[in-house]
Amino acid sequence: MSHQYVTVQWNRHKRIYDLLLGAGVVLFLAAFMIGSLLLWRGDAAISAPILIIRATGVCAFTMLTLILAIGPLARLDRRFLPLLYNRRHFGVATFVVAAAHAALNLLFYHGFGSVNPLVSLLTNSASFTSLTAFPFELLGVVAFAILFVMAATSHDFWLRNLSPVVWKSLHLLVYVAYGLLVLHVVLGAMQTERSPVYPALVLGSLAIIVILHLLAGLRENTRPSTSTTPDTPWVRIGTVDEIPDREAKIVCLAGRERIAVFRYDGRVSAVSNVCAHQAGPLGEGRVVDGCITCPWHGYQYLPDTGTSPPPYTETIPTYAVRIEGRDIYVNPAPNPPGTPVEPARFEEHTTDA
Amino acid sequence: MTERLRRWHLRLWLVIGPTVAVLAVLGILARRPAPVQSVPPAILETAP
Repeated sequence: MSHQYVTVQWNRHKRIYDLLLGAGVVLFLAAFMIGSLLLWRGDAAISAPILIIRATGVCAFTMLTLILAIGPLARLDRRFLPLLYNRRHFGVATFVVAAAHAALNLLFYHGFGSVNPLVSLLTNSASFTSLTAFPFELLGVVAFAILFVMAATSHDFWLRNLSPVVWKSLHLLVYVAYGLLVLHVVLGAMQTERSPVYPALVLGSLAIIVILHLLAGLRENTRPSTSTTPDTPWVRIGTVDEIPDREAKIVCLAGRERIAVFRYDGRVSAVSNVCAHQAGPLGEGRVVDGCITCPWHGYQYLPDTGTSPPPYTETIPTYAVRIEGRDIYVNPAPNPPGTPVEPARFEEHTTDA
Repeated sequence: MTERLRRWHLRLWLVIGPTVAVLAVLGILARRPAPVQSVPPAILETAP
């Protein structure tokens, strides 16, 4: 959590992750180049600069495809959640590989004339009305600019100062960048390739990413599970027996943010489902060491106050909750973030066994 | 995610997915045909 800013919040787990990530990138580039040298020999041989440009391009595209698959996979299946933890490192590494691809392209294709390479790139003769002669480089430039903004703002400093919602909205631009990159590849490199394998790989990657995101989005786009009535503010959201111990039930009310109702140690507390860090789904997390723990990055909150344990300062809205028999009732009006609310208590039941 | 972000996320993919897929397929179908090695007619006419 972010009670102070450090350049990169290293820990042993992240160092190992970054070492494996770096090794994976080097292995990918080496395998691509060795494979290409073996496949294309003689007259079809590819020069070293073009080989490196292709290797870095394919590597960056593959990395971005993997990154975009992590989010929906984690929402569809909890077993993928650990991959979310270091996704920002993966994203910055992707930007570095994409930067190498962009720099090599600029130098190799535009660096030997009398015109500034950037001017040469941006004024390259092409037709905006033709698919086959479209200036595909511009699509790559715009996608690269988006990746740059994302990498530059990937630090908690920007997350805190832009606010989680603005930061998250800004980072949704990565989907636009991915679409531009698919077209950058199809209208660029694919135009001179005759093998059906490459288009199949690019279109297949696009199809997988789109289907995963739509599946995850449609699954979460559920209708409100319950609604308020004008005569009473309290809403029955179910029974304590429906909720596994130290886990939550997510309540969806019309026109309101979702509420995470946690059951833990004979008590029930209700808090906002939205984590103060990156708007992660708190209700998909668990109570660990007495704290609600966000499944995305491990941010923690005390269930009865909605505040992070000291020295951290994050707060989330809390909700009044009461129990009648085994039924749980929640007042859907949120309390200001960090407002203490007495947990509702119930007798642990033999039916839980 | 907040409800607003959740809705935007779905809308973005509903727009980006089909649009990019259609443009990508059109781009692949519009590829120039592979060059075919052919014998110029003049050579055929003068052949013994």
